[in-house]
Amino acid sequence: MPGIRRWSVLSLGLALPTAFFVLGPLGFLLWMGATQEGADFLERARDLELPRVVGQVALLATLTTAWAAALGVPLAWLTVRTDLPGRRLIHWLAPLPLAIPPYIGALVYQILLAPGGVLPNFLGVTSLPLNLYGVGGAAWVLGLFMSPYLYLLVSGALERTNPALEEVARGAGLGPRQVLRRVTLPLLRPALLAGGLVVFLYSWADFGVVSLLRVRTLTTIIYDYIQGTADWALPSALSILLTAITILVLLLQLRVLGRAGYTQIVGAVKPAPLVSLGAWRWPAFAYVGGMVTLTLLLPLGVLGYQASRLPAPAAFVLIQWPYFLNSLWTAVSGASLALLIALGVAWSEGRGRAWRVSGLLQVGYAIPGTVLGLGMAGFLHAALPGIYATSLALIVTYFVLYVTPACQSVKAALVQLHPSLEEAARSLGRGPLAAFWAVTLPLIKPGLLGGWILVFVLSMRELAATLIVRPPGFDTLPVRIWIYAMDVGPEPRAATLALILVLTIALPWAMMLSLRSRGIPPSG
Amino acid sequence: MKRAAILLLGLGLGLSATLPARASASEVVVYSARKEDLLRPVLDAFQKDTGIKVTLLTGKAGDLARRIEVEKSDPRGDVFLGTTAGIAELLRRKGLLSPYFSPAAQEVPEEFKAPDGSWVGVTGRVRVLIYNKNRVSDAELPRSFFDLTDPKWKGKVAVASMGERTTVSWLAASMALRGEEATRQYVRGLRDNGLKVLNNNTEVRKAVARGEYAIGITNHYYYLLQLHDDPASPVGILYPDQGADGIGAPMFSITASILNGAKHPEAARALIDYLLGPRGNRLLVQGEFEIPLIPGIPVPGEDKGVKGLGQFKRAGATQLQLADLEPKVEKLFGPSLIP
Repeated sequence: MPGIRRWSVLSLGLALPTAFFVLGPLGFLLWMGATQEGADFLERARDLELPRVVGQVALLATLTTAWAAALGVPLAWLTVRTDLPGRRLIHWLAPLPLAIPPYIGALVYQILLAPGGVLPNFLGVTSLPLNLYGVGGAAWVLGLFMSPYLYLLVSGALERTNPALEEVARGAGLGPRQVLRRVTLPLLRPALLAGGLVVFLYSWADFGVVSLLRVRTLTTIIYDYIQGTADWALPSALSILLTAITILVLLLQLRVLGRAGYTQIVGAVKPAPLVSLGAWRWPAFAYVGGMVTLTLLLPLGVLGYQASRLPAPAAFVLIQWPYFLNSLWTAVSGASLALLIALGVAWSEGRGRAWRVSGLLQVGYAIPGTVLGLGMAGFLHAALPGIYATSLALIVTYFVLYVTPACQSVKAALVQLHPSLEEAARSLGRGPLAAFWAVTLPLIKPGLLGGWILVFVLSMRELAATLIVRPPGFDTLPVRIWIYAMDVGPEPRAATLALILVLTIALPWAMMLSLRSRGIPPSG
Repeated sequence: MKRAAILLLGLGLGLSATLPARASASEVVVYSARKEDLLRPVLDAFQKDTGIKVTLLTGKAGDLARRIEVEKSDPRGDVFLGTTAGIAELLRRKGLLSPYFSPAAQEVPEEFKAPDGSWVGVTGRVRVLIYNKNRVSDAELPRSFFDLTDPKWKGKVAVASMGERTTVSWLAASMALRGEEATRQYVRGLRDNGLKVLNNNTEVRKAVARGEYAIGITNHYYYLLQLHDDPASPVGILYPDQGADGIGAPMFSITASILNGAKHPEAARALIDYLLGPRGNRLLVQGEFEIPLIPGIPVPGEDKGVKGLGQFKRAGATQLQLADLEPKVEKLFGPSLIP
């Protein structure tokens, strides 16, 4: 069939350059890591107590995932399925903390809870009995600011779940608990697993939070070697190790999740009847209020307060203006590039049984930022010196890191669209591109916009890779925040920039969320 | 379709902005491992006095060294400012630096200059102890770095990770003067005594000022930076190993080098001359809170107990000796020097 061949050509055309940029950095690291003598590496790996470190990161990732689930999942159920007061507003507010990068969350809780922070000073003690520095503190911060991922996925799944299934179960004589355990939870399993995986992998590869909160992880070890030594071999070897474990987790996930992740529950059915909370309304409301406080009000309040202590804010902001522009347009370009490629990939895969390029793209998502930065810098200089140390290098980096979420958004939008619509247009004499332009594109617009904003948000706040890849004189907002927070000290400046970053991210994010929450009926 | 057009426009705009800017003759690209805030005043003054535009890339020493190595065939930077001689010497041995004997460097003591002119020390920093006055009384202060393995300091001492190059140089000084075995034992002793490794020296000074740790092993200007941040901080400075049998306090220097194949060699030389010249060096020393290597420039913080060159006992290891030993320190002690 010529049609299939055409899609194959398109996907091949997309696959080759993508593979080049995704696999190139990894290849570069493998090559650099291979130069290390094996015995020497093993000796140093022992000195670094790698097994203990890997165990500690696994613990951190597990705690974070559990904490994020404990926060996000009940919240999703409360807003979608109960008569919680103000549920529409909450449905809009709950995902907003994603606009606050976890490292900024860490900065905020450092200002609040660390020794010498606001709360210890207020209580007149040097440090609190519960130490923020360590795995517990890092899991606290990561869980708080990652919980919206779980919220988004689980609330989405709850909205799509056919309530008839639960009604039938109740009719068959099951109690509410049994319905939850035997019907609702299994239906939510794909969403729970997918959300849990995002949170797990993110905390597994996190750099910003763990370094601010003094947890030794593979990424901090890599970064310390990168900062302090001119050595290539050890950081490269550790990077390969880190990436290998990440890919392993991803493969494991594919086995566990299997095809379940792709099962679509067909049909927008009538909305589920709302559970009446009765006397529980107010405790539930307090729980939700507590979450909004911890993830939104407190961070914004602390940043705002710190920023207000900045002397001559106008002059400061004016100096930082170029960095803001740097961030803005690299993120805009990165998101646009990612979306264009994702559109091509998802379209050809969805319509033509073409090459599975998206599996390859996922490797990019599995590479932690620190590792990708190191590999990308070396690889670009060797392969594309014209791009090396230009802002294009940053755009390519954002593309490789975040094309997968873009792809997922586009695919999700395409799945809901029956190919017969496009075929109808073609049968009326339109060419494939014209049919796509006239029929498909307008229909998947919201999905595309969502994907674009997601990549934009993630790129705007990217820190680890940007630190290594950025050209001279081309800092981004996260880099400036990092410089002020980690190295120079006066927190008002870091807080001011953090506030600007959060608001810049929050704007399109809030816009997207209000589009989405139109589907939610007001609470009674 | 309007949005698609906007997307494309954004992409195009982005691409066009990445086109390499025309190389300007009066420009110098500085790769600096120094804190940007501290370096800014002198770079701004240079830009104003000479009309040469300074483009600054701030990073950590190792990060920049790797970048310089990657860019070997097509250098993007002109001047490298390192935090100790170690990394500069490593770059020299890889043939990445270009020798330059600045006429302004004549008064810099020989041991702070590479014999072949590849790097030159522009200011000095001393490895000291800082302490929290509320947690340690003057009577019980340690007298030596090597006292810190005493159980009395268990869990009370902090140091910066090896992400800070001066931490590596500090142990290199111990290797040079007390030998490898003694240093191994010393590091093991510190570790067993609960030495806390923090991300960087800024965290060390803050943690000591807050009283989280009683003593910090750090560089002298962090004491001044802390007082600059908060003049009421209860921190003190202590020059260790000053007794007749002591090895003295190690000294390092900020090094300036020109990169091999620099695109703006003239401007690079002008910058190094300026950093060593009377006006530039004074600004640099003041901005960095460091001690001058050139006579006649005032010592910042002298009124707060900071000592200038010749006023304290210096560890007798040359910058070159330290540089030689640093790779070994990385290898032996790197894993112990990570947070």
